[in-house]
Amino acid sequence: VSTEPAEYVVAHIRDRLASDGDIAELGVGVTVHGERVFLDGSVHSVEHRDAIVAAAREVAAGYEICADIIVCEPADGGPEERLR
Amino acid sequence: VIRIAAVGDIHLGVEDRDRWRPHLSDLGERADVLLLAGDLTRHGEPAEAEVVAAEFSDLPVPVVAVLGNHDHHADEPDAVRRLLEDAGVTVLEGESTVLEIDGQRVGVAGAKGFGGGFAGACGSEFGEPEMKNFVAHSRDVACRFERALAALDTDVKIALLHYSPVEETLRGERLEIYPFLGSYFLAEAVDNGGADIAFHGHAHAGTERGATPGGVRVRNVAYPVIGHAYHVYTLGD
Repeated sequence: VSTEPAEYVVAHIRDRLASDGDIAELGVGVTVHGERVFLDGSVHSVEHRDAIVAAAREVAAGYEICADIIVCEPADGGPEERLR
Repeated sequence: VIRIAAVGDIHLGVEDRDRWRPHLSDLGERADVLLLAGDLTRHGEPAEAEVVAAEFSDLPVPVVAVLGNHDHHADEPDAVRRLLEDAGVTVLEGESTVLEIDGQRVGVAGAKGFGGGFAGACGSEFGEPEMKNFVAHSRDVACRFERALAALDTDVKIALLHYSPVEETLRGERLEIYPFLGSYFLAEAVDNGGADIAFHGHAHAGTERGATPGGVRVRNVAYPVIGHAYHVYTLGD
């Protein structure tokens, strides 16, 4: 059962992700729809994603956490843009 | 022709050794210089800076960097800077460096920059000391950056920042957080200092391309935006 209004939950999760020394994540979006919290973004590792999800779960008691977080590896150098 | 490789916001942690380096194997064939637009570490810990230093040491092209807000989080930016410099990376904060590329003198002026917002919707040095300090700091770092840029007497002048000088490259970010993503003071500095192009990071959800009010090209090279180990920008024919 939800215990906190959605807006506060969003703020508290974002605050925790930024201030938690093991996470320090400012690049993950947080939105609430009904009783679901959606986490959206891309991170470097499965461990980092799991830490983010665990922290969100801890902060947002009563909400279901939906982690739309992509774990991505850097691709090689990208395209060249010619600026004339 | 000057080929500039650039990326920012790579956010390497202690577990990320050898994460970037394998993707730099053809850098020497593709570019003349590599620019790093800040947020190189996750928390600004010296141990993370050691990882960054190892990733970007002994490359076939010069590497020039600015630090980002993440690189300040552990309150040890001087240690982070020193570790990068020991690995041969030139780190700029209100400073510049000059490179010789393809017979041309190329100047790079760099600074982290700061927030404050954009013309018509920005903070002012008014009210509480905290607010005045916030805006004064933003103005101060932009002034030092502009002086470094303006003082360059080179064929090409490149501006390297972490925070954004313009709103255009923030499109995709929430409007409400624009004042935390950059400052028009930086755009004024880019324009007044006579830059040919400006690079920045910081805005992960932003877009790659924009321009200053004075018509200088701006590129947001935050890794989440460009999606590659670096992008290459070629100046000249």
